[in-house]
This record gives sequence, C-alpha cells and structure tokens, in this order.
Amino acid sequence: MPALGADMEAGTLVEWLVKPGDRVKSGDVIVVVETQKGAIEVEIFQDGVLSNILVPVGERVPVGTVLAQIAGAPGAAPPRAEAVAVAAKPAAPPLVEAPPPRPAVAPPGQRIKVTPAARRRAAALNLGLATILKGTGVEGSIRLADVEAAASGAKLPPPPAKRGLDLSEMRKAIAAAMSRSKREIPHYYLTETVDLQAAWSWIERFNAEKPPIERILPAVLFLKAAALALREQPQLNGAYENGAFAPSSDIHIGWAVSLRSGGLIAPAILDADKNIARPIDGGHARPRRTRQAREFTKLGTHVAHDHRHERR
Amino acid sequence: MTDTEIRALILELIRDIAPEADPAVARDQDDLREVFDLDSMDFANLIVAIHDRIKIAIPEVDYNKLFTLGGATAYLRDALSQ
Repeated sequence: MPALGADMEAGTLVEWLVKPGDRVKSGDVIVVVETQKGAIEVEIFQDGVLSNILVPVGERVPVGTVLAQIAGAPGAAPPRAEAVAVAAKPAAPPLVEAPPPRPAVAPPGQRIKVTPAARRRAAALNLGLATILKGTGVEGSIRLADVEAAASGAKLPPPPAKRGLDLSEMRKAIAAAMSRSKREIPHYYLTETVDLQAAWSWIERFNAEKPPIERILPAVLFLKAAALALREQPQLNGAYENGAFAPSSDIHIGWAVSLRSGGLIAPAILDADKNIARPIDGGHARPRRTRQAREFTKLGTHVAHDHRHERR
Repeated sequence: MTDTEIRALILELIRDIAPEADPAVARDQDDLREVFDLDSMDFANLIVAIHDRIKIAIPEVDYNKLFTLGGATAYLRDALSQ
C-alpha cells in the first residue's frame, strides 16, 4: 500500500484490475485504492507475473502493507515468489509482514482451475477464488459446491468500500493534517506589498487578443512568479524527510483548489517554472472526476495559494 | 434568440459548471457569482462556454456587464443582434 499523500495512513482496496497469472509491467495500473482523498489508481513499478493477491477488495490496510506478490520475469523465475509492496516508497518499510503464501493456493503463474458456474457464484458472493482452499473437482478444480462451502464457512469480506469522493472523509483528513501542521511546525508569517500594475496591464493586453479559452487568470502570474522565485531560493523547494531537508531539483507547485461543495485538493503543477499551462483548460478546471490518476496526487515541492482567487 | 432563450442558455451553462445550482433561485438583479458560488475560474469557464455555444467572444473588459443574470441576458441579446 503506497503512501498516496503525506497524511495517508491507510487505504481501502476498491478494485483489482489484474488477477493472479496476469503478466504485469512497470507502469501498469493494477489496483484502485480508496483514500480519504478519493479513489486513486496505483501503478506497479516492476515487471513480472502476478502470482498472489494478498489483500482482498474491501479490506482496509495500513501504508506499507504488501498487497500482492509477483514472480520475476520468465527465465529468471525465482523458486519463491518475491513479495513486493506495490509501488510503495522505498523509505516506507512494510508495517505488516506479508503472510506466508497459503499452501493450497495455486503456485505463481498457474491459473486456478474453476468451473464457470463456480466462478460466477464466487463473483456474486464477492469471494476471491484464492480464498477457497480446496477444490474437489477434477484435478482439484473448484466446483460450485466448493464455493458454497467456502461462502458458508468463511467470513465474507466487508462490502466494497464506497467509491468516489467522500467529502466528509476529506474534511476529516484535512482537519487532521492541518491540526498536525499547526501543532508540530513552527509558523512564521511574512508579508510584502508588490505593485502589480505592470502585471495587470500585461494580462489585459495579453487577454485582449485572445479567444476566451486562451485567456489567463491573474493567478497564473502568481504561480509563475512563485516558480521562478523558487529557482533562486531552492531552500524553499523540497520536503523534510527523515529529519532532514531534501531539496528538489524540480519545481512542482501544489496549487490549492477548493472543491465545489467543500473539500480541498492541491494538485501539483509539474515543472511550473518551465511550463505554466493555460489556466482554463481541463487540467485546471475544478475537478469533478472522483477517480484520480496518481500523477494528480503527486506531492508538490512547494505549495501556493491565491486567496483572492477564492469566492468572495 | 429571445431573452427567455438567452436566459435559459446562461442557466444551462452555469449548471454545467455548478451541477448543484438551482436555476429557480436566480433573479435578474442577483450577482451570478454569489448566487451560484462561482469563483473567477468558474466565471472564466462560463465565458468560454458562451463562446463555444453562440460564438460570442466577450472581451475581458466587458466581464463586469455579465455579473448579473439580467445584465448577461441584455449583453448577449445586444451582441447577437449586431
């Protein structure tokens, strides 16, 4: 379970997009995880064959938990499946040891034999086939009766997590992060008055010749100015990690965007010093998609906010 | 387009930006930004949507004439008749 935000402590599995036996390659989105900031697609950073899913849909697990195991590329197949924390940061050691593979689970790369009726029934019951330890059919294949037996005996997984954005959860996450920030980080405040007449005049001239879609909002100038200032003040661009400041060579500005009906996200504008984009394109409009690409939640190396931009 | 049609179009485009907006609450003299909770980005998107739909590129200096529903209706009526 990767940390999909600095304040994320746990996530709930919403959907597996791959199944045991599937070949995966670095960059594939393999699982959808529900966090307090919405459902997020998680990539894998390794090639191989998915041998074992360890966390079923609906389960909430702490950051660092091993979600699945993949076997190495063919030819270099290790005798045992290597446990990997999918897309987890190297700095975050698994909080939970991977449970040893269950003995009756199909070995890596081998499909679980199952009759179509059993597969349908298992899906209807939201029951992972890997959780059915023993098939009683031909060559150990899983039959309908095995599914029923497993369903009556096994504790059913909780219903799938609520999908999409849960705004009250998001408010809780923001409140927790802000309280912690105020409590643990010394704050100081600097103010500076800048004459913006030249900037305003420039924007007026720029926009006057443009169709509406290409016009820019004044906030874009603040972003660009912040990004250029960070080039000169690299000590303000980065993050504290493991007790030390780690400067970033790239300038990604987290831009606080208030969501309609409450809530807040801070998507990072990547390489803001080099490519400030037009303000009125899809990337900047208030997001309504609730399933976010992971890139969208990438942490900024600096955060900027335009209070004037808020509704009055 | 009649004033009624223009007014309905504006409200339709606002609904696209603010799905929870209730068009029934808007009176002609109200500031759209307040009634429908539009920030400057939302308002810019409304201008873009108007341009896409009826091909009127409203200059930035005229934005303040469209802050109210009545003002926006009148402005677009005049622009369409030119």
